[in-house]
This record gives sequence, C-alpha cells and structure tokens, in this order.
Amino acid sequence: MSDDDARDAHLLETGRIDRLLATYELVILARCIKGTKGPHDGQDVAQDVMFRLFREFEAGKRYEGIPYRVVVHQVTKWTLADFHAGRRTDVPLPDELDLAAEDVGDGVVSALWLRELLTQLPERERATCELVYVEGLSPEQAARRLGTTRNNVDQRLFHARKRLRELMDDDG
Amino acid sequence: MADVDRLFDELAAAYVRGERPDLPAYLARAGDEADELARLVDAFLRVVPPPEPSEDDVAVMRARLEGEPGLLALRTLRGRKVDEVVDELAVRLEVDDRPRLKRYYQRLEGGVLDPHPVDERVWDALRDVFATSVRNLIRPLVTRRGGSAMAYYRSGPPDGAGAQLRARMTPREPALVGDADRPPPERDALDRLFLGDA
Repeated sequence: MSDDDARDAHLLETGRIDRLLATYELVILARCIKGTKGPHDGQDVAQDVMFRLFREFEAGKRYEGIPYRVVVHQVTKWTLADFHAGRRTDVPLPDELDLAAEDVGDGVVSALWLRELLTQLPERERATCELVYVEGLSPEQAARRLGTTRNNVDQRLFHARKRLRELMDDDG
Repeated sequence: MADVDRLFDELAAAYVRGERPDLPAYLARAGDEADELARLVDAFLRVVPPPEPSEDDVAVMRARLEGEPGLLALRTLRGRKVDEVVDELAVRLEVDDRPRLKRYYQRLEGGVLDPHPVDERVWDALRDVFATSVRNLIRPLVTRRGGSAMAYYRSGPPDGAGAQLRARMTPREPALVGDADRPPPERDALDRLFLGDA
C-alpha cells in the first residue's frame, strides 16, 4: 500500500469523509466530464458520485483491502453507467467489490503512479516533467531552473504527454 | 505547441501546487479540443497522487455534506459580507444595476439558481473575488434530511426545482424562495449573465 493509500485508509477509519471527498473532487469531476462528454452533465454526475460515496461510507460500508482511490474510480464508473442507461444514480452501492469480475483495474489498479511513469523517460525529460507535473513550476520556470530554453522544455513535456496518451489508449 | 497542450500544462501545474483549477473553464478555453483536454486531464489525475486539500476546501465540503450551499459556506469562512462581494462583482462585471446583481448573486449563492447557464465571465469574476474556483461549490451535496440534493434538483417543477430544494433545506431565508428560477419576460445583459441566452 502506498503512502497515499495509507493516508486515505486512515482518513476513512477516522471518519474524515469530508477530507477524502475534498481530496478526490477534481479527480471525480474530470472522470465524469470525460465520461459524459460535457461539463454540465459531468458536474451533475460528479455530485451523484460524491453523494454515493458519502452516504455509503458514512453508513459504514467498507471494501476491505481495496484502496480508496480504486473505490472512487469504481463508484464513478458505476454511476456513469447508470447515467448512460437512464437509471437512478443515487441508489445504494453493491456490498462487494469483486476486483476480477468488475475489471476494477480500468487503468487504475495497474496504472503506474506518475513518478514511476516518468522513470521510463530519459533523464532530461524526466527531470523536466518532475518540475512541471510534480512540483508545479511553469514551463518558463522549469527552463530557468534547468538552464535551458523554453523550447527544449516544451519538447520534453511533449514526450510525457505522449506517454499519458498511450496510457489513455491502453485504457480505452 | 498546440493550445490543448499549453492548457494541460497550466492546469496540471496548478493542480500539483494544490490549487483548485477550474476544469470547465479550461475546457471552454480549449474549444473544439475540449474532449482531448478532458481525456488528457483524466489520465493525468489517475497517475498523480492528489494533493492535500486546503482547510477551506475541507470546511466547504463539510458544509455541503450538511446541506449548505458551498459558496455560502466559503463566503462565511472568508468573513466576507454579501454587499462586499456584490460591490466587487459589480466592478468586475461592469454592472450598474447593483440591487438586481445582488439578487442574482444571492440566488446563486443560495443554490437556487441553475449554475449551468451562468456566463463564464461570472465564474471568472467570482474566482477573482474568492481567489479560488467556486463553480463546483454552488450546490450542496446532501439535503438536511440526508437525501441526494441532486435528486431534488432533477425532480422539481421546471420553474422551481431550486426553490423546492431551498424551501426544504433552508426555510430561514424565505425571501429567496418564490421567484427563484422564474425567467424574466425579456432578458437584458445582466439577465443573460446569470440565466444565459435561451
């Protein structure tokens, strides 16, 4: 279990669902917007996902041994499926989460965290991407830090995005 | 560099710095490439450990889980008066009719105005006023009775879904209930900012 997964598990056990939902709000929103092909429906479905997560975990439901981030993605997936099928999106969740049957992976369980993903890149590209995508520097700031040009930084970032796109393709 | 790449880099960097990037605003800026940006952002957020939310973010989420509209909770947290916010909005949106602007703002803050038709300029102005994106905070997540707030929005009558929710949840502000979501006969520039063109 990663440090982030351990943090989530601790928050869940101590009843800090508000903090967990605040942590994952944008993750849920992005997935719902992508899944509905529109920001309006995406925002509405994201509300449903967060309501479901809150209600179920507040009531004590747990999926033992499964990282919270995986549960978030799976509940989002279920809710999007309900939305597309025209079903209610606020009904109770299943009691069990069968990793194999549900294909919970969906690019999540097996997905590499970004730092691991970046290790697949050459050293200069990895260092550049860490500054922008891990530390949050702008490309201009990254160029200054590395003593290179903005153009070089753009080129190196291009390769990281290409890897992300490959991940998307793998995921369907 | 393609526009979508530039927007992605900007959003990704803001996210890992712990900011709350306004994803729908970025998608609007991406235009025809919005779907591509949405796919890229979704993939990125799946491989980046989410940063710790701010204490304000957590407090606003807690309020929304208790049936309170998030923008109201945020303004209260920041210690801002409605009139102060409206004054700033009037300047940023170049609106002269302050009383009507205040009424629209209160309806938006109270969760009784459908946020979807609200113009991007309003979200931009609110983001400047509160120094964070408020677009996704408008509605509570849960009613005070513990049900889904979205279910109330969906099941109410066309001209009063928000008002119905408001009446059930926060009857302490009856002045806001009644004319909520009722469209004016003809829309001027201010109406269109909050209600859209339709």
